[in-house]
Amino acid sequence: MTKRSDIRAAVERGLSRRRRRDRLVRRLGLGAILLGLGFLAFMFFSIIGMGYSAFWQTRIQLPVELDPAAIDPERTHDPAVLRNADYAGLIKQALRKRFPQIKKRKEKRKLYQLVSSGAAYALQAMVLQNPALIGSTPGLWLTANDDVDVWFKHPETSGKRLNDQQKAWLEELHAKGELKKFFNLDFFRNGDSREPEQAGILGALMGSFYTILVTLGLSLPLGIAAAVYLEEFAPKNRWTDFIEVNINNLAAVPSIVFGLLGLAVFINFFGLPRSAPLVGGLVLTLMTLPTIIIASRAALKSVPPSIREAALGVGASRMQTLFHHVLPLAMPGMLTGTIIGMAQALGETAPLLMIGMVAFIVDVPRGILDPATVLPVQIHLWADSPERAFLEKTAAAIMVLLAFLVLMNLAAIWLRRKFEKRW
Amino acid sequence: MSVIDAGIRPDGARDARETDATVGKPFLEKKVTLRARNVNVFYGEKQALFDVSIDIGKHEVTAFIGPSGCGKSTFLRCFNRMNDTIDSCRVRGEILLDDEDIHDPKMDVVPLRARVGMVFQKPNPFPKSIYENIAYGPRLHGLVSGKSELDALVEKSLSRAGLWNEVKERLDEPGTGLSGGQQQRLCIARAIAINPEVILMDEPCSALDPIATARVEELIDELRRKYTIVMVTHSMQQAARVSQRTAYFHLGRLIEVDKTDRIFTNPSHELTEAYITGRFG
Amino acid sequence: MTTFARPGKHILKRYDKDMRKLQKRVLKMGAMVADQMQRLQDALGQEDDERARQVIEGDRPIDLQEIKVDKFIIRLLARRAPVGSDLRYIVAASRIVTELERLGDETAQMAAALFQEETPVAGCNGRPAHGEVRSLVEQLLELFEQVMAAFEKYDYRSALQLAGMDASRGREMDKRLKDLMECVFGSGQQVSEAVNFILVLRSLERGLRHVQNIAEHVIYLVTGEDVRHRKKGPASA
Repeated sequence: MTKRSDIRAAVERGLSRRRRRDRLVRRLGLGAILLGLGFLAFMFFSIIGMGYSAFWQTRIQLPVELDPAAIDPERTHDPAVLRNADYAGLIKQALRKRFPQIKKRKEKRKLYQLVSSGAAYALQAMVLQNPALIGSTPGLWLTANDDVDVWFKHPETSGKRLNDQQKAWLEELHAKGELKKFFNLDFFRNGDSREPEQAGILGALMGSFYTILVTLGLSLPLGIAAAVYLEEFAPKNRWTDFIEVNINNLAAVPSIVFGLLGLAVFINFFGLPRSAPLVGGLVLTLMTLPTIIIASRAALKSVPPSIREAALGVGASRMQTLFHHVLPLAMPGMLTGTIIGMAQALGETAPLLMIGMVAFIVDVPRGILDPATVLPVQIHLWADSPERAFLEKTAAAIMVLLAFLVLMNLAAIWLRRKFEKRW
Repeated sequence: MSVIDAGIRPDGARDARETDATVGKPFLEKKVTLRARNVNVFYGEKQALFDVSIDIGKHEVTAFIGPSGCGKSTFLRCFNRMNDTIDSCRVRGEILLDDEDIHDPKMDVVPLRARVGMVFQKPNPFPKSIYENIAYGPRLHGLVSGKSELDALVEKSLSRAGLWNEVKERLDEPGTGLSGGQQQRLCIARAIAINPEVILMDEPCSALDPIATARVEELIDELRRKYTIVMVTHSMQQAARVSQRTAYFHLGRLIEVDKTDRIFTNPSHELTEAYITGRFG
Repeated sequence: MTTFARPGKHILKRYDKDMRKLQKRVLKMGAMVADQMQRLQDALGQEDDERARQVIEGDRPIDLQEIKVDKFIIRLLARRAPVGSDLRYIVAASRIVTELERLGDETAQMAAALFQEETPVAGCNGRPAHGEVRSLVEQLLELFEQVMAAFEKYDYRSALQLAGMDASRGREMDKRLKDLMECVFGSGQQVSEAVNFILVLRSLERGLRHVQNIAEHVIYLVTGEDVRHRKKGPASA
């Protein structure tokens, strides 16, 4: 016989141990979350720290004499003539005028390197747009070369690609306020380029946009239709079991396999264009369908049967029950699944490599059939490039990708709220 | 001789023959709304109901009682073919609603369910506004034309369910925001909005507190004047309080059906007696 | 099997306990009444005024027991909300308790009528009143014990006989009472002398009715048939 007091004492003894364990488990959980948050914060800091400078662009101010004799000797104002003028020569001339002390050919070449080769195109565009400028000598802010850009942004850690003489010229320009950082609009309005100072994200961004558009447009209706059929109408037999198992397995298939499938079916068999967002979207649709189907079925399953019964009980048909009650209730869950699928698709690289979306494409795509690349592939390409200046571009592209994702999630949250408000 | 088969008569002599026959008065001479004859229900291979025959009197409350799994809910769901939604469920036998066979292939379930409404165990208002909850059925069946007519019908249904005064100020608020008892009365209002002949109630008060239960019971008693009501209940007190006739089910068979007064003072079958007095071991 | 089985056990054990307690209390009250009748019988045999006084005083505990059982019945009704056989049992027990109390009253009244008067009550046809009454009380006691046994044992056949009075015993006693009454009226005795005797006979008659009523209540509790106020026998017909 154990006395009550003994039992109580035994419980007390066990109690402190139990509490200790409770605390341990709680702290482990908290620790895991803190660790995760720490990594996340580290990632953000390193990416933002590396990438924020890409949003700034170093420019050099030069009074460029738009000599009519050099541009349009016969004053035709013919665009064809204007286009063919030697704008690089004009810039070189302006540089020579700015630094008259430089005489040696070798030194001159070093001087010309300070300004980006793209500056000539910018000048051409400016003149084409406004031919009245010909004959004047405007003080133009010309994009600097990427080596100048990097050195100007991080003078301590770089500059090996500039010699002391160049640095001295730049110091002089800087001292006179003729070397400045501007907000980098080119990054947002250019496509890819071999020259880092001219490379922009817009091509990849539009590529991603069109690809996701195709993916969403195909996988959302297909996925929901498949989920509704399987959940509401399909008879329960071996066939549907088999389909179910396969859908679950497809969600775990490596994405590169879908790329191969896309290459074989869409490009080789159907002859669709390579590198096109259409094909990318099709491949990503294949990849995200299982995710969307599984999530949508779970959402349909979670609609309480009492609601179906209520609708059937007042005499709604199965179809009416589905469209009036079940689907609106399942919609937030379906959208969540879709957004997860889209986020996955947005970050996918491997299957797109297979269908040629890894090509170097300068032009910004204007439709789903234009050759394009996508954000993650662009990141991959830039990360592979040897130039130091692409480092910050890579980080900046990651930031753009993350922003895209955040925007998509916000859209999803907004949609959910909107649907939930209706009930 | 198994207990189930042994009927006993009031004079004390047990019925000599082994029988599945229902004791009491399954058939009525007065006005009958629903007639069930030899209804058998199967779930796959398993038989859930055995040869149930009963008349449901017009403007009466008939209560089905019995232990869990006795088939009373299954039987109730035969009356509006709610069992159709279960793939493995097969119903054999004849159920007549005003002399029309409801299992006739020509009979469509949609008009049937407009004639035989249902209220469920858990209050299940649609996750929509109170107004929409009531308006859904009439709109579905095209019972009204125009907004004013619909407004009037919503008010009438809610009034009849004794809910109008409580909700008239907040018809736009979600029906799910009401208390449990109010939700159940909303469901009853939703059922009567399509003006059915019969209202089936599957344990309508099992999720409610005693006060809400009393309100719903009072409502059932009032509705009896216009509708025929069949209810399944686990509360024998409730069956005794609101029903005119009580049917006792046991293991898929209708054991006894009679006037409620008789069932609760002097049931004819041993099993009924054992169940109502709480003697199941 | 031709008799009703006593209902089986409740799922709630306390309910069974309560029902047993009710039966015990009713039977105890019955035993108290039977004791009173026995005492009256003894007093009549020995012309013992002391015993007679005991009978008169002995009615008080019976009244108290009635109140106790009634309270218990109300509690049972409130707490158990009985239905079916339980309801019938409790209602019958409540009615039986009332009958028992009246039977106790009648016994005490007989004792008062027989012994408190100075003048001895008259006899009939030369037979002494006390002897006659004594044998009638003995017979009533016997019937009473039978009906209480029927209540205890759920014996609805025995109760049927007692209630219908088609059985020899009850009918015989009924007849004897009637004969005696006629004899008293017919013998031309002075009314003042006969009054007490008549009162005793009335009490005996009422006692017999109470016993019959108890039998009817037993029939009700077993079968659910209400056989009160019927000319003929119960449902056995």
